[in-house]
Amino acid sequence: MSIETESQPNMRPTPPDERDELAKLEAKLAKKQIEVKSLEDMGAFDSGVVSNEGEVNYQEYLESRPDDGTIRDGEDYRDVKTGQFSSQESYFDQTAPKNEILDMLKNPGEQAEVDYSTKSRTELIKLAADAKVLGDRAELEDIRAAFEQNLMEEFTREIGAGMTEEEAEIEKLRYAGVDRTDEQFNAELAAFDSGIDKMLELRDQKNNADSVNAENTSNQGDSDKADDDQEQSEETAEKDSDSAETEAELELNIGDRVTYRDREGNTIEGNIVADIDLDNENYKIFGVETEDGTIQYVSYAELVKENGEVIAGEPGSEGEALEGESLEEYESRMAIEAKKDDGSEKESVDDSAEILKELNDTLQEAQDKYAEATAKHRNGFMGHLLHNSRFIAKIPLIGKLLKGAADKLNEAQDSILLGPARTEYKKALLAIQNEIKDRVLVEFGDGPEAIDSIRMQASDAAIQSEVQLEMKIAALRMERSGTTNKFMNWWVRQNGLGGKFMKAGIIVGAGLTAGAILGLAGAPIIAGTAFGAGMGAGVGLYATKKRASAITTKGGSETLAQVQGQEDIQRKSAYARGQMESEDGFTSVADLVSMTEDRTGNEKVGNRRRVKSAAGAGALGGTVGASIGSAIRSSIESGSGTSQEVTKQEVPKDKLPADTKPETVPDAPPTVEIPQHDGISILNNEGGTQAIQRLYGASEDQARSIWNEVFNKFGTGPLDHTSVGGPSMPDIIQLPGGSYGWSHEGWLSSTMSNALNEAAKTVMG
Amino acid sequence: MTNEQIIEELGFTNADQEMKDRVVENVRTIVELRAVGIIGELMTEEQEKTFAELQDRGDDQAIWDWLKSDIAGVDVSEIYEAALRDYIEQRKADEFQITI
Repeated sequence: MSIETESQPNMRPTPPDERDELAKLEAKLAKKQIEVKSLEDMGAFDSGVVSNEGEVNYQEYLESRPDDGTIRDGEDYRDVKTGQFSSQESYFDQTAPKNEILDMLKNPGEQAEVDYSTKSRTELIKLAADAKVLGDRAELEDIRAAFEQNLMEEFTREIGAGMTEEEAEIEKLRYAGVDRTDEQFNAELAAFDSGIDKMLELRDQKNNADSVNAENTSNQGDSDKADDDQEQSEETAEKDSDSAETEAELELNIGDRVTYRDREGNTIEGNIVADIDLDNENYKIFGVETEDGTIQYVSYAELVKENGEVIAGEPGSEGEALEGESLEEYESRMAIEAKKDDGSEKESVDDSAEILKELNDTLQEAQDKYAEATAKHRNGFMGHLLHNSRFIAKIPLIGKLLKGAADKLNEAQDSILLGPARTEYKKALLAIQNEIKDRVLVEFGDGPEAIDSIRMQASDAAIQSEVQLEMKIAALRMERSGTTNKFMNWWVRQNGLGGKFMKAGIIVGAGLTAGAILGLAGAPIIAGTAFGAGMGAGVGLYATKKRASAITTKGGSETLAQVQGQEDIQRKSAYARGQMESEDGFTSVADLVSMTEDRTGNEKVGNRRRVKSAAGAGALGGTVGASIGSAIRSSIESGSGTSQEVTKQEVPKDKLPADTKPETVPDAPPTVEIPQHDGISILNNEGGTQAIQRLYGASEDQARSIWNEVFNKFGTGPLDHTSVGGPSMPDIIQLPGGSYGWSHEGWLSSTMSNALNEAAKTVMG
Repeated sequence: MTNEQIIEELGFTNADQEMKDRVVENVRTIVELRAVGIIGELMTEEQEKTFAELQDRGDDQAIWDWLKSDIAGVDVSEIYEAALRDYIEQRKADEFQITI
């Protein structure tokens, strides 16, 4: 409501002094009206009305009303003291949560009481750095204690706490058996302390940079500078500009492999695992996980200094990528060519073996890293399967487990935890596959048979490598505490399927990967054997050491190290004598179901066999690998119409009598072992003794004796084929014309396979 | 999936018998390891207890029977078969590309 001054023609005009008085009254009234409205809004006239619970009444408002600042007045905002209108921005500025970190950085020493328990790790690092600068040890200790407390809660919190029942169940499944260790806890604390130091270093750098910039600005502003000074200044500015451009172009991302120098000037390598946001885009800190597993905090500037050219530059000053070649292929090719160009050619077996060894070593190392990355993190194992989980994901419980892992292990995390290791592993494998390709092409050209051979051998090498990888993952998981450890230990101890691959498979694989290529390269078989056995023994010792310290026998009273003590000596003796008995530690991986059904108490084999069979299997791996290469070469030559004479010269050397084997490899163990096959498959139209000659390298007479032995044993009686996916049926039948032969192409029953193995040992051993 | 099917799926039909044997052997080992790993991850607290009890009794045969029928309500053969199919698909997808 307002008093209007209407123009009324019959009345006299208002004198000037009265108009002034009127204006004053109007202003007074307007002010009063505002006050009244304000009081009304605050409930000042709500006499006898009890406010609802939680609602602020006028009295309470008066009590808590600020002495100054901006208050809300209906839809407007006013300054408390002056009563003048104020902006909404001022109102929110004073009511919004204070940026304590920023305030403290600006006004160190004046910070309010902070609840450290609610702060993130990065915030605590910043606060601790402040306290350290001020020399406030008590405060520093408080902050560190808060971090430790938070960490402790994180480590010990009840799985599934605060979650729905379903979520808790998934989490429980996911985290079963992955208790975090004291070692990890202490590493986290150490990383926190290191982060504080890094933060202080970073601030120093920032201050120095500010001061340098200030000087430059001052210099540039001097218009009276001499020409030479000006030129110098321009050069400096240009350099700065270049530098800034390089930095601007350089992107560091989580997962990048980087190097930096520590305080002592040592070059440290690691992967970026964290990008710490400092609310300042010009200054960043990265968490770099180093080889020993600790996380160091390194400034962006330091990383750019050491990695700028490497990361931002193009690969390959040494050569260019071929058209259509991926970066991965290019790098793999360059790695091989670098080895080839290293002052040597692949003329001698020694050089060839050296290259293979290097490639294999690289692969082993990459496998180790990938296995560690997989086994190290809570979701690593399921994450490892995530990329190929179409069928297992259909099983509801596993689907949930995978989903949980996928949620936790999102793309960014995957790129930290598994991605780099996976890439490195694939690259190392690709290098071996390329080597196989090169060697086949050099020897046999690029005909269809050669291409098919390359495809199969590359795939075979990948499968061999993956066996090793899975075994390493399993071995590492066995070292973890909790159920996974117990369960896998139990599985291994059973020495059935699990026992066989844990005891022998790794070694077999190691021998095969190198051995297969050696065979192709035309290396003497004996070299393949020695190589395989050597690697087998090495890996066997490694695996045994690691597992012996981690695994306890039933009841946990005796470690495997104790159990294995005597057997380790036996293994060494056996190796020295060249008695490479496999004791069925190799092959024999049957179907899981039939394995569980067929298992009986007397199948249980103790730890006694582990190491011994490991060394034996390693040697077998090398032998088999070499003969594979030779056999493939023979098949290619036959297929491509090579003359019989040449084929005869290239007969696989493992088939030669012992006294005709090359004498160029000294100290090699005698190769007296008879190949043993877990599953035997008959080729199309293959005769009875023909198959035996192929399988065991037997002479005609030997093959006839072996045949007679199994024929006398089983005749044409039906045998159980369930383990190879077939019905009960005979393996031997009478053929038209009255002679006997194999009843079918494909897998023989396990009964027949075992009998053939035994007969071969008896006749040929 | 039979051994022959594995060989066929992975394109080793023309390989010699030794390579076929090794491929089957290795593939089944890989799959078994994965299946065992999954079973370990699947175990609930109750099942952990059951496992520990059976283990304490030293009755390995009972553990095998229990694993076959009762682990997480999932037939282990189903897990194994699914893991096998996944691995075959992985191998096919990752097959070495021959460029000459």
